[in-house]
Amino acid sequence: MPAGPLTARHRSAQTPAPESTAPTPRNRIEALLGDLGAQLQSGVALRDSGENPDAPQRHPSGLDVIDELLGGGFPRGDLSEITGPASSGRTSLLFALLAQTTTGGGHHPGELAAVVDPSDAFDPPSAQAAGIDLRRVLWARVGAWREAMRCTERLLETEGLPFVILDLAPSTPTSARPPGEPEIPASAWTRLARRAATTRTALVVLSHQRQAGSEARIVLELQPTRPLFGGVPRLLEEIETRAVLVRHRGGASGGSTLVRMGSPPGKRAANG
Amino acid sequence: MSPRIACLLVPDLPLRAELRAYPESTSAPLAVASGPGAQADIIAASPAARSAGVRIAHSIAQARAACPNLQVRIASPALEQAARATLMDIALSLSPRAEISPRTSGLFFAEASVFLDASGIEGLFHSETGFASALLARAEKQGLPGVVGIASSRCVALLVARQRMRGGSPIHCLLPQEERAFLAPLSLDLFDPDDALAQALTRLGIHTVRDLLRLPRRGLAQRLGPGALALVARARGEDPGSALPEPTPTRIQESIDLEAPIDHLEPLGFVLRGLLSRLSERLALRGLACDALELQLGLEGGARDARRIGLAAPTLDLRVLLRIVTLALAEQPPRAPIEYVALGSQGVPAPSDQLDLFLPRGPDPAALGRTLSELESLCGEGRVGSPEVADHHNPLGFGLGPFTPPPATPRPAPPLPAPAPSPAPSSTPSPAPSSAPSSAPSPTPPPAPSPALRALRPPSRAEVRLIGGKPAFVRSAAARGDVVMVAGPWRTTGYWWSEDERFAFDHFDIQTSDGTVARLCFDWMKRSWLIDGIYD
Repeated sequence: MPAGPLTARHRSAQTPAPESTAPTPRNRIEALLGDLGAQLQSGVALRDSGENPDAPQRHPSGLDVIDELLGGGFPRGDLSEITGPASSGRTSLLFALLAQTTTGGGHHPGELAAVVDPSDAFDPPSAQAAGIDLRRVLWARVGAWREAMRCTERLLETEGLPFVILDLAPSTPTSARPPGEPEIPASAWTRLARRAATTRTALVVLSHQRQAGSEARIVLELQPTRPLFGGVPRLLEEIETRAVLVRHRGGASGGSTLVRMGSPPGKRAANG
Repeated sequence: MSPRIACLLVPDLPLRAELRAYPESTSAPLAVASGPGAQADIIAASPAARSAGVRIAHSIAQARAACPNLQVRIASPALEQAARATLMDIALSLSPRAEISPRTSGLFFAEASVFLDASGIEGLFHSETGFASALLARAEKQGLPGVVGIASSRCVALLVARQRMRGGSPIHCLLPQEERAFLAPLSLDLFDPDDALAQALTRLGIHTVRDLLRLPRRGLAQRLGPGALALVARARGEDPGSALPEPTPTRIQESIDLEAPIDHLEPLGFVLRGLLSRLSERLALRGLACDALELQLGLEGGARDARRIGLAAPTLDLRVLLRIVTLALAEQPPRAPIEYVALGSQGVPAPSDQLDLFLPRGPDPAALGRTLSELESLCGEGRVGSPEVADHHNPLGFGLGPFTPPPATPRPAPPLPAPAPSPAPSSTPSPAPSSAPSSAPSPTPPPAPSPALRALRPPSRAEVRLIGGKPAFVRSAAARGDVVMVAGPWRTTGYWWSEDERFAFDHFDIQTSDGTVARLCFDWMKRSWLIDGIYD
């Protein structure tokens, strides 16, 4: 068979010539794979789908030391608590968690998150500065804790909303428990924990003290150590806090780590 | 190919309109009267009432004499209008073009009919009979049972439907070649001519279409006037009107005139539930969801109360819609007892989404819409959405927009492995194996967490003692004690041209002796100290 121009060019480039120019089934499959794009060629989706579905899935917190302490992050399908007094870094940790969720940390597609905020304390400029994709955050500025619990339950019933935060931290120390306000009943936490388990949603409750009792799989207590003012002119540079794993159902509790919010990533944390 | 027109005819619309609003009366002997008073005429009666002896054109007194336990309702124009509009919604749920027939005042004053384009429906419904069955089923589901006739013109389709009203199957599909034979024996009464023409035709002994078409047209026009020519055209099956029009976007409304004024929210809830149920069903027929409700209340004394109730996301969830309307009324009750209620909505296309094979599954748009609407009913209007940074420098400002998350984007695919070096000797040095990974774009990590601010809304007022122009002691609900550390001040000003919106703040970051790290600010406009946030 006389060599055509295409065959001649291939030979001159020191590459093996095609055996035949007719479209074989193998050629067709390769062309189809090429059309499907780099995703399928690189096997990313196949690798993801091959992950063990029974393994406990975790939401990385965005802070390596916290993930290490928790064993990978906050568990999906479970209730976790972050407690601590004002200026202990609860909101900073929450924002890091939200930034990780909504942006995927640059490694995964961003997911949606909902914040139920009876204290009306969510600050959009601060959240944006923390790297949160605000478009993926659903903010419910609910009035009282009863409605907050109902909102949370409704959000947990919604399939495809993988991360829900209930911020029960009081705005001011005096508003921690208004006079006459009844305590949240334990049955409410049981309901929320069950809903979270049904839809495989990670529910994180932020508060000044423990609320959910034994329904919480993880309780992380933040103890403020010191804020750091420095530089010229003097600026609030970081908040240093100690994170203590008070409860970890199915894992080792009692561990702690020192976390600094605000320093560059290299100096951010040191194990305590 | 001649067009095919379907006619859905509801013979007793006043009765059906009442039963749509009061379904509990379905099995009771019910009659609809033209007005109040014992001498008002009965214009429609339920089968139970008819079997008890109640007849159309009886007075209310005669009807009650025939059937002592008869329920009599006064015909409601609002309910009839909603029922007619529902017929149009049913038609448009099955056909791209439809037209409602105008009201008639003659022999068939109680009937309502809608014409819809039935051309080319074989692909979807296999046959015209299947199409007619689907049409009838939807009409019955909406509480408007009727008959369907299909022919090549509106006029003939209507006649076919009227013929079906006399009994037999409620569906009749008339082929074009059968139309002449179908029309010939029909009584001219079915064409509902005006009284003068009807009397003249009877006087001349002309009773059927066949009799009429035998007469010379010119002589007929001279003797009986131009109305006779129009009647001849209809008797020939000719369509006087133009083609069926394209639908226009319309506001869907359901309304009701209450028999007695309502001054409590609880009984009004039952009325609202019925209205919302019918409204959401009509929106669903058009493939729409409710994004906002327009509520109109007619109050005792003639006053009107109109309000617009927005929803966080389009929904058709009856429970959510009812709760939102009830909340709106509870927040701002009407000033007088309610005599008339109307609920309307323009509707928006129901949200839908295409799932991606490679991305995490997000919430179903319809389910998310229901959730958002329910959250708004719990939190209040304008308190659920996506946080936004305000487009100004006021540190107390923020925005809350609709929650419309962007579609998830796939993560960048890792680069393909570098091709293995050719075993053939080459003069050019092969690249180092480690160069391929180093050229890969590294994923962008999220920014380092900075001390986050918890906003205090409203800001907490503070008493501040200054030493050397800097805060030295603070007392407020948010923080109290000696100021251990302080940074600042930073001045922020804006809107200096606006008397109402101008602001000027001096901000300090402080740590008090109780361990709180707070953002303290001096408001130059009000000349007061505030704590507007806690670093946490």
